[in-house]
Amino acid sequence: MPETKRQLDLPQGTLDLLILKTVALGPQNGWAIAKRILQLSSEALEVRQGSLYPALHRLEHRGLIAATWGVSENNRRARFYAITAQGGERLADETDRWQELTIAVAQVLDARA
Amino acid sequence: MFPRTRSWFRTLYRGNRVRGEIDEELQFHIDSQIAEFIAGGMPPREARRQARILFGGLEALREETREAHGIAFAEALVLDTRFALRTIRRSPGFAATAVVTLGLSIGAVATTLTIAHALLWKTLSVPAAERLVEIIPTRDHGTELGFVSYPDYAHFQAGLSTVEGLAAAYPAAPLFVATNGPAREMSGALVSANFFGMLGLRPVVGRFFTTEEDSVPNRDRVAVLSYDYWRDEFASAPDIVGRQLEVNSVGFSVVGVAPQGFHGLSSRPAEIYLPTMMLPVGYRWCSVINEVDCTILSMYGRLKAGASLETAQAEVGGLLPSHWQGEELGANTGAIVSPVRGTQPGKQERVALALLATAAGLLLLVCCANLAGLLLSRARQRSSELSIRSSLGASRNRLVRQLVTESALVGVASGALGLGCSLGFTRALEVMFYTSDYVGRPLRFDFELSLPVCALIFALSLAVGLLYGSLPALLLSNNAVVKQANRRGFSMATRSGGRWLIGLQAASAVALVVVAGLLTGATRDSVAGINSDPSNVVRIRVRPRLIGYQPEQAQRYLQDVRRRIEALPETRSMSLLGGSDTEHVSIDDPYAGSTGIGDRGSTSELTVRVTEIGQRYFETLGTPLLLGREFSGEDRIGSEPVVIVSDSFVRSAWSKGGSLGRTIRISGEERRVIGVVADLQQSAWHVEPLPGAYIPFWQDPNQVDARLLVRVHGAHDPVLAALSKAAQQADADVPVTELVSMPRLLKGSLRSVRMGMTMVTFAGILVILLCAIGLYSAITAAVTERRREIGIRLALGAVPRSVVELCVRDGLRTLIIGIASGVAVAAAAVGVLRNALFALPPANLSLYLGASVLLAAVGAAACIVPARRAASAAPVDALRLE
Repeated sequence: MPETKRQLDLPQGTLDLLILKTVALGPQNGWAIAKRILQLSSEALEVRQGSLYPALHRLEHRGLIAATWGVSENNRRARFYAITAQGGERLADETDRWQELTIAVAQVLDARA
Repeated sequence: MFPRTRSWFRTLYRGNRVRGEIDEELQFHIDSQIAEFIAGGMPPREARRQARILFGGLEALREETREAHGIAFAEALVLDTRFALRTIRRSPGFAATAVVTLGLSIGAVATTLTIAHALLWKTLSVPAAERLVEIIPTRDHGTELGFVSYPDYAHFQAGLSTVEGLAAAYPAAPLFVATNGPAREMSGALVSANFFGMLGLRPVVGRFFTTEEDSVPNRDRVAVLSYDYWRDEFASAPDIVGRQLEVNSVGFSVVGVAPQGFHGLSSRPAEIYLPTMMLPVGYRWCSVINEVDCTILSMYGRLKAGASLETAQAEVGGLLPSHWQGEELGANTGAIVSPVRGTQPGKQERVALALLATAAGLLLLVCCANLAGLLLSRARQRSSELSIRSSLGASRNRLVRQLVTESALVGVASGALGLGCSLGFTRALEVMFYTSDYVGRPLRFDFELSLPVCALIFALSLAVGLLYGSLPALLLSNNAVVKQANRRGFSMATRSGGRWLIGLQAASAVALVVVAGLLTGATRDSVAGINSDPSNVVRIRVRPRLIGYQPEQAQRYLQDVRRRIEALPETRSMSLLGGSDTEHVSIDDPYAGSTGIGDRGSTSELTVRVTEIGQRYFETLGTPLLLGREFSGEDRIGSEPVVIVSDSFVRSAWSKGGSLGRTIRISGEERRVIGVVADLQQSAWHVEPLPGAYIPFWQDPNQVDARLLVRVHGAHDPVLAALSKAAQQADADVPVTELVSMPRLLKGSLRSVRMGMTMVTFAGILVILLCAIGLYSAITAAVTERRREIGIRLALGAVPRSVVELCVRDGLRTLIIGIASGVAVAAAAVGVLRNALFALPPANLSLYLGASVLLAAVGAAACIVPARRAASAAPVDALRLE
């Protein structure tokens, strides 16, 4: 494992947001989703398998993403996740909220005495 | 929530496949990781190892993923159910006991609900029945409900804007109908022309009444038949329209037939309908329908769209006829708007319903307590199983859920059994009490098991299952308990809980037995006669008024009938019975408040039941005459007005003594007291008993109808036929009706009380049985726990008898506390009941004692059996078991 960058812990609930965003970019299997998140975050966010798969199935159970079996790049059967209409709406909502939240938190943290 | 539900179902049907898919998906991830490591230059063996390490506990992840997918819940439900069925199969005795006792209790509840639904809430089976309302006048400061005259009806009909199609009806008219041959008594209804239209009904044959046919008094002699009558009497003849009927000796022609399933608005099914303008035919007290004092009609209508009961009530309140201002007794003074629901049961019937509900509810409660107790008794046996499962990794929630699933399963099974039982129970009660009235005329109640009742029972049985199951479940899964699986500690916890439960059962049993015994004894006494001997007395009613006889003609007829019946060999004595009414009687009491001779005393008023009777009335009834004489043939019009009063009358009127020769005023007429008679019971138990005054039938010049009371030799039925024949020989046209023996009449008047009594008795028997089962299993469990101790005692030389005593004492102590509190509950229940049913005597000591002894005996028997078994075991065996 390249230990070049500092790994960050994900705040509660943000994993779902990251998965939704990644899946919104195009259908992906679990492995690729983890890789994509790592890549998009410039290797700062590594999603552990232990939380990835329960999260994927939870999101599927809630109808935010849908799964189909497809073929991976290395020609193996893999489960591909795509975002649903409901998931798209949730992603938009959560993105807005996340941005509001980060701006608000940043404002507090930037405050000068 | 839809995708979630779908994914559960998917799991239920394709659980294994989903599980395989998860495994495959996770494997793919691991393989990709390995491939990445190898691509990075790692040797394959090391790559596989590293990938596994990185992935962590595969099994835990698999479990977590499945849980997230919603598999776990669905799977657990299936597993729990399967496991529960297996557990039940392993101890079928317990499950069978639970299902049967709970089923019978739920059956009792379902029966109560079905009957209550039919009597209180059920709507008519006509279109949009929930909008139907009845406008009911109130009398005597709103305490009594009344009827209106035709002019009052017309007044409301013209003025109301919130209720449409206001129709008038006299829903249960006595009609003697002849088609071809002798007249037969039937129930009919006199209805306004808009009645059927307002209800949204269409005729199956012909038509209903036109407005024209219901506009001129006593002109249009047209009739509509009920479907059943048309089918049974006329074999569904298609040419029924135009056929002739004779109703109370007046000719009518049929114009149509009402639809199937419509039986009118009364529990006495209407077989024939006449227009209101013909009312005097069905109600001879009115000669013309539009007299203001002919108050006999009920009013029904439909709430208009947008109107509510409240707005209608407000409008009706402002629309009362101006002559309703008076406040005299028995006059209309107000009106209420009431939805047309059920059969509007009277107070006595409501008391019976309350009894039914209380008994059934108590039964269910006791059953739950009993089952919880049984579960607790089995707790020891289960505790080892549960601790094993717990140590194998079952979570606490999982254990609780499994126990609750078990009891829910028992609940649902008993619910199904209960619904089945209630079909039988309801049918039995219907046949016993609701198919005919006290003189055998048919009644119609719709006791079909309805959908709302079914749904309620299903929910109830599930809830009961969860309720009785949750207590032991929580106790059993208590971490400390499971972990240490310390049997002694455990048994302490369960036994104190079990004590309470058994005490509760014993208390309920005593209360139910006392109330059942009281009601049974009181109804038996009542039917056997109080201060009378009705066993060989029969009664028939002759109604010359219905065919329009005037007093002179009717009295000639009555005298003729009397002579004929007296001449019959079966007759021992006979008397006439006229009207009976509650009246205020004024009494001169020369002693009350007097200070010396010459004082004029004072006048007081007494509310009494005044009854018109003929000669030899008390002799016929077997009622002892305390003072003076009975009426004779000399007490007639023109002779001195006389009266016989009851014992309680004397006690309330002249507390200082003296009665014969005193005068009282009844309806303004002075009458001299010539006799005092023992108190006779009132037929209705819910009415406060009143002192009685009896006046001679023949001192009223207006007598027309009468009931004939005859003490006879021999069996009732042939005698009744002979009496009826004698009456008909006097005049074949006069309707003879209500042929009934007094015991049957008395039984009939107590119909609802006896129904309540039946349910209380049923509940009482079942609760005693439950008590025995509960005690038996509790003692069995206790004995099992103390087997070691018992073994040591026996080995050290204790007599088996002392061991039995030891065990029984433990059980009986609980039982006695239960019985004692039961006696207190019973006393309170009897008090409440006597407030509702005045005729109910107080429960005597022997009743309480009997109930207590009965329960103690049953309880002792239930304790002795397992105790004996324990004591008879060889000490070595008992010790080896540990």
